[in-house]
Amino acid sequence: MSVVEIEETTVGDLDGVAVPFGNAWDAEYHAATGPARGYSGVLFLPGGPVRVGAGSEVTVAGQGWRVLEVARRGGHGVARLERV
Amino acid sequence: MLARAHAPAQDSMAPAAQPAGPVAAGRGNGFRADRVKAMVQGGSGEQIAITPDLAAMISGNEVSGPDVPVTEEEKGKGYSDTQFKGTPFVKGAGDTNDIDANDAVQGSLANCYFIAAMEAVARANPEAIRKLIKDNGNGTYDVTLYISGGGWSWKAAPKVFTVDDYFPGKSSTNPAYAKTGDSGEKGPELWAMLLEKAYAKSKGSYKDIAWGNTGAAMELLTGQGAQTITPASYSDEKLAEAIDKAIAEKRPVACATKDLEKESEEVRKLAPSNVVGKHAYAPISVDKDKKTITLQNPWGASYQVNDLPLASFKKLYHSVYIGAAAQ
Repeated sequence: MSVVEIEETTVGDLDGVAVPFGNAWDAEYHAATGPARGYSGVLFLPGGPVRVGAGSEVTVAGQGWRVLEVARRGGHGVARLERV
Repeated sequence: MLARAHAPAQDSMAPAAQPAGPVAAGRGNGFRADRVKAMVQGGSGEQIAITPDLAAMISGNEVSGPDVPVTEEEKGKGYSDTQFKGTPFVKGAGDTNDIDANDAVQGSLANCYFIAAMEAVARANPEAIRKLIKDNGNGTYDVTLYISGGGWSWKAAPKVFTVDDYFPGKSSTNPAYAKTGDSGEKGPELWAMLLEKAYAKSKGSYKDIAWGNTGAAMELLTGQGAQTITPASYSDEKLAEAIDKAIAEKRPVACATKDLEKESEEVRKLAPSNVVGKHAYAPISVDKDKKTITLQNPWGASYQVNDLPLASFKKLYHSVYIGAAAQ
């Protein structure tokens, strides 16, 4: 699957690497283009926790992932990531 | 000694009908249940130990039938019915018991409340977990859960769910939801996955067990209601004493955080990164002198919360759930 969703407080799977997703709310985060602000949440990457939102890019086990969005669904935050 | 089975007379909690999955799982326990009923009702003179699954059989509270196949939504996420050939319990390196709190690890389902309850019960009373699972030796397992509601009794009644060893997953080493525990000669340890699957079967699907109450999950696993205390209403000393006493008495203890999105920045700053809102944890120990608490995180051992000051705990956690001691 090229797009992976991780719900708030759960442990997602990015190509076999367990990546928990913390809480989402409106805050500053780093997008690939620079500092941004918006609905965003914390991904617990192997290198440590990073707040991400739409436009963020992260690398997990050598694979790049782009955050398509962090959205509220059913009262809870969901991060959608796409393999770069 | 034949004990009375506290169970509703009718099956009021049967799961919703589901399409048959790719694996035939409806073993049907009618013959065995009939034989047990005859022994009990006919006064055969045999003495029977009433285990939870036997009590469920006598009361008619067995649930066989279709299993929990992957849904279309799960297929869309890349999951398929994946067999995990293993065994319920494996003693891993460093474990004091084959049933260890660290065996239960959360996956991509928002059921930290259930995982934390499993951890708490496993830590306090591993034998309570063992009694819930019977390996039928044919790839299926009879899993007992204590279901509340319905029937004449207020008390949660044991109900047996027969599940097979297929789980949503992307590979035979990567289940979608609760993870495998330790690995042994007979394969991976499955008890947490089996309990989770039985609970999903009781509700109809895995999605239906997302988000819930940790105290209620403890009752599902033990049949005993949990006491709920509000940390903020206790002094640091009294809170430390209450949790420490519960752990010493081998009572399952779990706790849950507030929705930190709704809390002030001042409160959020008290949370280390591994303390997240709307999440459940299982206390491991309390340091009464330092007034700190160490907590197991359902995400896994590397996310354990060490030495959180109780003053912060009281502002970040809305409830502590204390279950009954082993009987």
